[in-house]
Amino acid sequence: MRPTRRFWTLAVLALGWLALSVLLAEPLLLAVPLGITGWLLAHQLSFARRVARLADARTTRFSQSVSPGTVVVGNATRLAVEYDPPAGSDDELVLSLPDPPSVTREGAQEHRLDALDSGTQRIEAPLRVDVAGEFEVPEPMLSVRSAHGLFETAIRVGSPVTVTAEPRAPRDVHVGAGGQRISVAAGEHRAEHGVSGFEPGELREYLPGDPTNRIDWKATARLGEPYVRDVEAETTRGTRVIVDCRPQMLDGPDGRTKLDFAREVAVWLTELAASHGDPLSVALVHEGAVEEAETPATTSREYRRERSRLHDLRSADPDSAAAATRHDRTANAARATGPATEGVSVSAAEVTGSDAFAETLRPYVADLEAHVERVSNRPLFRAVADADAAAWTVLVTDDSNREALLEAVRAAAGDGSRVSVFILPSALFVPDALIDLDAAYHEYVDFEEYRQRLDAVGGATAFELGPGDRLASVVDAAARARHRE
Amino acid sequence: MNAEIPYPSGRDHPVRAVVSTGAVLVVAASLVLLGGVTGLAFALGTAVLFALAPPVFPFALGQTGLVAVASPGLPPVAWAGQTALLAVLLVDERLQWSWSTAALSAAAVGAVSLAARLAARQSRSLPAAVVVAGSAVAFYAVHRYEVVRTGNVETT
Repeated sequence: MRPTRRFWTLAVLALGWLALSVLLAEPLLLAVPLGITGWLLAHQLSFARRVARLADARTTRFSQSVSPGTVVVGNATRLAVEYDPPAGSDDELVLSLPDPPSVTREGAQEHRLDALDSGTQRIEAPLRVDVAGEFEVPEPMLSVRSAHGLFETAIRVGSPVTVTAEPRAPRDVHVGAGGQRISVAAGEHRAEHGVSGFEPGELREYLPGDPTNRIDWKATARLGEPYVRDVEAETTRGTRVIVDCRPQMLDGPDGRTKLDFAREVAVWLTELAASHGDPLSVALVHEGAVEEAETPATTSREYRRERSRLHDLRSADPDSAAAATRHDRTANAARATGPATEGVSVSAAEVTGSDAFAETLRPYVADLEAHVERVSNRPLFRAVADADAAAWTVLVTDDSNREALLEAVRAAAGDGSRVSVFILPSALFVPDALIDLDAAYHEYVDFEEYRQRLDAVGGATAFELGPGDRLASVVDAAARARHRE
Repeated sequence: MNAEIPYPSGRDHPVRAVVSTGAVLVVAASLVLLGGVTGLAFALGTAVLFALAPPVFPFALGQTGLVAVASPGLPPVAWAGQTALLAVLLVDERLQWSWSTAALSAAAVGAVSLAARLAARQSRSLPAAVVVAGSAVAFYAVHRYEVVRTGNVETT
């Protein structure tokens, strides 16, 4: 309990009268400070009892809750405090909402409670959690000020609640083929290309025929017998990771969109390249543009830069997600699957004349050019076309535009370089994908056929990438259906 | 908290309003009867403070006036005024009285008064010191009761 300025004003007045009674030698004037003291004491006692009663009812009159209790980092949850105001009180009551660390509360912090309100009242405020983890939101603070404004105090009311923020990263990342998880072999690579240096290897006994310049003289002196140290050639292989960031990659629940899965794989590839010291380029494909650093990453600072770019990947404008290209089997099946247009030397402008031959030929040539123009203007194709022939090209994208992807993979693998493709099946990311498991399974089978077509391209390896739990549900449902048959 | 509670400008509890208003009238009448023009001045001041400020202010002015006009000694009219002043102080509609609150407050004030009276035999200034010390102890005791009873730490 804390006395306010009014209390001290009255205390000073009482002291003044006390001094006056001493100066004037008037004992009756002592009645003034004694009266003031008695009055203040009565108010203080009465206030202390009321506050004690409020404290006794701190969990019954006040309750705090948060809904939902688990959110994805950056998303908002709602803090609610319900209270039953004490009737017939002249005290001023102010409820202060808590401000826990790493949690941003929006709206006003202090709320004045009106004792005249009848029934349960409710105060709400949005909470935004900026860091993943579990956070305790402490009880709100109730500040009480007595009638006449003589004393004030504060007590905690209600009970603490816990908010859990899950990271914006999918937990069950499935990489596989045909519904089966596989290990993606990405260890040391053969020295098929230039050797940049040598690093010391294991120590072993000298054998006849070993070059004498490899004898480790320190070890020989220490052990008393000749020992040689093997060397390993250091090789570097450029890695180019191309991540599709276009609007169709936003499909899926918050925190588990296609882009979230793509980011997990891209970050893993980045760390792999960093562990081997391989030059790394990360190209982010947006609608109509490709974003890439000017030089590949070769130092730890540059690898961190690329990782940071991937972690900072945010979805495109949410409004554009509504117009994003959705998985459409009809559209994919209807697209032409002709080969690349290499060797075509006839253009529509050259097909002149009005004879029957020209009239018949012109639509085919015009369509071919339009096909070339469409393909070459697509950013994914452009990104692949910029790849170094000696590099390992990794594409992380979805199957929204299957023919364009097939063309891009063929173009990338065409010059003999290695291409790995991680494809996200759109069928697993549509809302309510698991309501009709039969349809979902057929969609997945269609995707698997397409993946195998990509895998069959020389120099290319295609993996499926997606939520393991959803894929398992689809595959299990199909297995149960076959079992019933 | 930034909000300021204004001093009450009226009396909203009817019985208490009647009693306290009657008490102020008795005080004013005592002052006028005992002090003439001086008493009238004190009476008017007391009435104005009664209308605009908490009861402790009209009590202080009224008591001072009573001492000023009635000294030395207190005739019966002065005792009536003194009693009425106590009523003005105690009939506070913002004070939620209970028997225990009244008893404890009266006991504390009585103890301090007794100590002051005993100290007056020793010297003139000792009663003042006794009143200050006794009041401080009483306030601190209630403060500790509140802290222990609520079990909470205050915020600043």
